[in-house]
Amino acid sequence: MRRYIVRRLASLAVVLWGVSILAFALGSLAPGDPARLLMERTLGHQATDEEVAGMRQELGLDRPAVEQYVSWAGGAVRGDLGTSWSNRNDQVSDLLLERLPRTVMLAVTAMLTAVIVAVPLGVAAARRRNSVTDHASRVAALLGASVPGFFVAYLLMFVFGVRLRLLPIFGFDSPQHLVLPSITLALGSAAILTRLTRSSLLEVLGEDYIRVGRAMGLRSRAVLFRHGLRNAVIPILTVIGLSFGHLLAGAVIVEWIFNWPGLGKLALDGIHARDYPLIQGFVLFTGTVFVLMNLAIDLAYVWADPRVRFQGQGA
Amino acid sequence: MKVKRPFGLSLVTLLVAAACGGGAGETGGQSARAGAQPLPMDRQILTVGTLADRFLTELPGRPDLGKYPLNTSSFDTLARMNEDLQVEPRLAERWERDEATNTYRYFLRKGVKFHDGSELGAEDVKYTFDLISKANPTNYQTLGPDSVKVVDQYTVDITPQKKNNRLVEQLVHPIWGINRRGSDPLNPIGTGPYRTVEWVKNDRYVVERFDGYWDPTRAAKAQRINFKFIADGQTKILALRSGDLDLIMDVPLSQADELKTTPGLASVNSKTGAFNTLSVNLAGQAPYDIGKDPLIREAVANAVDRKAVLQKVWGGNAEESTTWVPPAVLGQYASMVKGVKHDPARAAQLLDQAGWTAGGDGIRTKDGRRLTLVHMISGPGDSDPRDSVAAAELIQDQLKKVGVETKIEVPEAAVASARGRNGEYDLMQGIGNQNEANPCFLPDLLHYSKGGPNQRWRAPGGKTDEAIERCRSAPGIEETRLAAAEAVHELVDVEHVVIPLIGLYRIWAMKESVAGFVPHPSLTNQRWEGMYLASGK
Repeated sequence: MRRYIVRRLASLAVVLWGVSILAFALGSLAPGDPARLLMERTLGHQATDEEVAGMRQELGLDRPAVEQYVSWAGGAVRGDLGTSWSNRNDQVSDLLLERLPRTVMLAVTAMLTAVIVAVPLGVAAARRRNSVTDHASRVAALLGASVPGFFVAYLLMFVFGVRLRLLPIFGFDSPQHLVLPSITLALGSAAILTRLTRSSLLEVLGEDYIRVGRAMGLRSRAVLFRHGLRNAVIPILTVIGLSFGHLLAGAVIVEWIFNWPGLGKLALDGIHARDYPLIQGFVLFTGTVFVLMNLAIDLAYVWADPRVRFQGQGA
Repeated sequence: MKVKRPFGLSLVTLLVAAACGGGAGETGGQSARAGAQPLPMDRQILTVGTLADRFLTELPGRPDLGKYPLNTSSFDTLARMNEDLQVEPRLAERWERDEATNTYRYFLRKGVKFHDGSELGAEDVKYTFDLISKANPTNYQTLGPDSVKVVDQYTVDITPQKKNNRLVEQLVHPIWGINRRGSDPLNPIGTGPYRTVEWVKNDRYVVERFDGYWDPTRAAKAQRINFKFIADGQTKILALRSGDLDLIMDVPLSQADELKTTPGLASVNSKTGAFNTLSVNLAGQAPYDIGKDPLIREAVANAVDRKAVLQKVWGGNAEESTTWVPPAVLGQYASMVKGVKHDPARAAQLLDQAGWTAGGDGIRTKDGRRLTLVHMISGPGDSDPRDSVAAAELIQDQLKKVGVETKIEVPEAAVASARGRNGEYDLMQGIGNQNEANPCFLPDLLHYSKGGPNQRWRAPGGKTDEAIERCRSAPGIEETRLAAAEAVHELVDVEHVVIPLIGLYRIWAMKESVAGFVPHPSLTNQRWEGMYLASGK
């Protein structure tokens, strides 16, 4: 187990190094001159070449790309992601940490919503295979997975905000503000979880030990929940973990549309302002969270499923 | 060839359109329900949906917060540009100019209080202008570190570093609003009818009524205004319709008609203060060098049917215009700019004359080169480009009829800016705004060939430069207007560098309970003190 963890941590470092290069390259490869843009935003009119050169020097953009990367990555290792260009007094790491709880709140609520909806629906679909419930859950999952998030967002805003006037449609002022964005964000994950719960449960229900249980006269409810769902839950937990990483990183559009002041909106504001330290910091931060989440799931999987542990030892 | 539009967005638009009933809102007026009975002051809390937060706070020394691009009515300028685009005194009661020394003397109003209770004086003007000139040493008004001198407590002399005859008209821009001396520009203290309560970047700017405001005729009528920065245009419209917002600014033209007919909502238009124009690249290298040929430019101007563009794309939400400087600013000389009439036969004749002959598919060629123009649409990052794209598609069809092919491109704002600077386009469609009262403002900013590398649309032959120089040096406003009109005439009618497409109305949508709102043609000069909530409907 220890060797496995050490091996995973080593590969993690390599992945994060790749993420850091990718994050840094995003800024360098994007079209447009950030020094000019920043100078012109500051001046309020078009800048001369001399003014732009001065700004480029101030930002360190006149140095070779490798030198810039080493300086930035070195800072990142120490937790210093630099200073935001569009928030000149703020450290990027402070901005990210300030917004993180709001995005986590959104992602956790979305994930809980997805689980509360998807698992019972998946169980019902598996229990009544090829019934109306099964077909209905299939259609719902198909829609949930295929309809774009922004469309769902506007639709929910229109129905619950404009027509029914039940819920606020933008902002961060009360718990009610959480409802529409979290439903929007939950939809994709709920769709996947519904189908996964169904297929996983059906697979488990076909196992010999389930048949034995039934032959021994166990009640079908006990077979389903105590033996079936319990064993089917391992792949579901894996997907929940992975989805949570996706939700954290993928809340960008939802946060933008609902004006939710989280990490995603911060990143988009940074993109519009060509705030490269902020964009690079966001990519590195969410990449790291995603990779760590994967590691945690793998470790939990090893811990929860002895077969994996023993396979690992055999290898 | 058409530009693809996001399918989802169209669906949402359709959905919203389908849901709009047939009720009637107030439209087209200058002021919504001006005579309505106001609610009690403690219920006068308004929420305004604005564009994304674009305050220029990168340099802490630059005092833009609360002034530009969102003018929160927290500041006053020495003089302002009113809704008719004319200059009127505010913090300065009067001013005079000594032409020999290029010095403007402003006489300040007495008894004006800042939000912290201190009195406005000449030192405050010096403090503010020094901050601006220090943060932006190459400012277009040419104010430097020694430009502002305090004469006495209520008198200040301002001497631009270069001869500048239009300083009075330039200083009406909200950026020149006066800050309290020594105050932190990020915690702004002004003299406006509203005082700043808080600014949360990218989220909100909150102002509250200032009871000590010096001008009772323009005192704030609401207790509090929450300006919410909402970058997504669709969200803003839905929030207005849901009742979460009281008023939204800069309604996209594509949504204007829907909102006008939505029960419970009203909309008002400002007078024309912005223009959608097509400018030809004169400084590009191959393959973006076609616009250098004057025959091509004239042919394009003749081929574009501006009336059809207005009617089919903007309907009643814009007006025909031959110029792109507001007629109110050019005064009686606006009629000097005639505009090119739609004449496709003449366009074809000019292209023949230029040596471009029709190929097999109808597109003209010359020496094996197709007559293809890159039509780039440029605009602020958060503006809705759909109307401009629809106009570009129509122009594409019109130009195709005379054998000119266009490729429409809508790059992201920063990319468009970079490509514009590098001359990587043939036609650029953009929006110009008249944000100050100087008639030369837009010609000088965009078309003076000696003004550096940015004046891509200068007219060749030097006549435009001469007119702009006369415009700069004219002692009186009438001579300035004449020279500005001559410059615009040269650019539009003679050299065909600019093709004005339409004059844009600023459109505001609000709940019917919002009253007293007076729309300004210039978004950055919009004031809020007259707006309040009224009882009744």
